[in-house]
Amino acid sequence: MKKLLKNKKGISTIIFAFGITILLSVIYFGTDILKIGNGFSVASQSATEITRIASVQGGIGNSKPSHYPGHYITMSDLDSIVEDKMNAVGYTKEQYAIEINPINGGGKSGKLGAEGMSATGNFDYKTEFEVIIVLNYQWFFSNMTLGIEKDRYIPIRRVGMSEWKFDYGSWVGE
Amino acid sequence: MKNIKMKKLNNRGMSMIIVSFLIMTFIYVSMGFVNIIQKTHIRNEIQGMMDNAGVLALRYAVDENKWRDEIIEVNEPTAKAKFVRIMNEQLSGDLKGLVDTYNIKEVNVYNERITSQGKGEYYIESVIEVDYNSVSWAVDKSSSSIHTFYNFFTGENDARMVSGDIEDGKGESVIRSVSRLVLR
Repeated sequence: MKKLLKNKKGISTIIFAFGITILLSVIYFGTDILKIGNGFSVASQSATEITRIASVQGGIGNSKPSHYPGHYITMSDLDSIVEDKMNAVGYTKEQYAIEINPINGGGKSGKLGAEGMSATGNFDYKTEFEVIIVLNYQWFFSNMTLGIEKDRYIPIRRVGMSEWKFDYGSWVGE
Repeated sequence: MKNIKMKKLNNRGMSMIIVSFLIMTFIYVSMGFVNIIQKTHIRNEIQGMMDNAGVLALRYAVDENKWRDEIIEVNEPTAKAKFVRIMNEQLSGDLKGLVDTYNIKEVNVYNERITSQGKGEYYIESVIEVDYNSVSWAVDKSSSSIHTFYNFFTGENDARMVSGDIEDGKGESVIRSVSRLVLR
């Protein structure tokens, strides 16, 4: 070691290099965590919003059901709403997969995002369903500097209940 | 003795001390940030679940015969039970990794307020305390979490608090939600 370090002239450069590396790591880490935090927050809000829309409309179909009053949000409308929100915080369509499943049967499941788009069936009055978002977040820069595993997934789940009666000819329990 | 004194006087190790301090600071700051993200996420998630579960519970407990005559009446025990069931299902189901323990502290249903059109309104107010596994004991420096808010049922400022221990690796949080159901 003594032979290698013949004089001390390079020491400050080494410290400088260390300092720069640490500074860059801090900045990268900060950038990553900001993006991840934003993604979590938007995905969380989207899940709540989708659940509410599906509750009010009794599912999210390809077209407006007959007799439905007012504005109806179809699956392709929802697709662009969610995509805009996720794009705004830097997430692409491939990074989230959304599923809408009825809990105890009673309608077809729908999906959105990475695994393609398909509309849900009609969830009749008081059908409970769940909305699941799986978000793929990435330690993009920290993967390079700190070696944190890049691709990670977080699931988000909400439960809703349909409030829309499709067929007034059949009521249960009366 | 002389040798030791000589060793103490030179500055060769100084740079390494600085570097290790920098690294420790970085790790500490990182853990702090991760902790903030975690806490915010838990708060957003549970608040979202509570908002949805509140509307669901009120809507579920509506008396359908009176509803057809445009009178809104919610069966309060049914609404509360439904709310608790939905929250239990969501917090202890497949995704229970979100929180460690939780306690549904309050569930209240109110119907005193009447809208300007003379139609009834129902509110469900709920408070949940949660404990979650924090990133590290080192950033668990607060022993309590206080949530202050304007309580429009009483017209006064109000607060809810949850307390725990510092540096035990568990974060605490208290979350409140109000949902409304109105006939329109």
